[in-house]
Amino acid sequence: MIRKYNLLLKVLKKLDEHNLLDHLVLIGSWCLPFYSNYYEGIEISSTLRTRGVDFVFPLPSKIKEKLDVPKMMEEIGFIVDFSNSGIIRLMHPELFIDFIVPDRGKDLPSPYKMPNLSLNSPAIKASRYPCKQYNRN
Amino acid sequence: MNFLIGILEEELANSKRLADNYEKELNKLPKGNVSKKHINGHAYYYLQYKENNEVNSRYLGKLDKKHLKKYMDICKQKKEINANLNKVKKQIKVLNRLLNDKKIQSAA
Repeated sequence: MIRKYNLLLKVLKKLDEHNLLDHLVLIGSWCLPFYSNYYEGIEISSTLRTRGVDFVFPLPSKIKEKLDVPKMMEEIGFIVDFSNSGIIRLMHPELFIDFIVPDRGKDLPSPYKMPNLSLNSPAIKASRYPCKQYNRN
Repeated sequence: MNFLIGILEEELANSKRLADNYEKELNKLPKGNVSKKHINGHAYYYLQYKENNEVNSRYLGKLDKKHLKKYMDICKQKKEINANLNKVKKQIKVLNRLLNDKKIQSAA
């Protein structure tokens, strides 16, 4: 698990180098270790964690520059996978990365093309849940 | 338990897909590895590759730094891909063993 976590830190560092972290949300089971770290002292119950790491690009995208996200991930050992539907996924023996877009309201085409990032992302219906406000004091 | 089996099946499918991708990447790269021989104080480079179960050797000449680096980079890339491919093959073996385990199947 430490290898997977260290690889994820490498991924986050790489995304940060290109100022992408401000435009992404890490969701799913892999966000929990970071919440646990952030809300120090609050126990977050562990969940089943697979190799899948999900990042959401909120829409509309505010990224102006042209970046090659698959190439960035290839530089740290990932391989680009193209599904039959055209969705791009980055794969490594330790982790698989999916870049997702939220499908709210009108049905977005899936895969949703983001040519300025060289990505074809699945558009997934998102639900909004009420969040508890944690008091750090 | 069905939930866990579903996850294991998905992980197995992912590992198989990754193994296929690594095989495709290896097939794109030129075959063989570069070996160096020192003869009378000079370095000579040979490309060694397997063909019809036989190891063959092709003389590449006195390579300049640029071409040598190109061959070495390819060798390094192949080594990394093979290391990852072996890792994934072990994962596939473990996942297959888990999914075929009679205790897990009976609990499902």
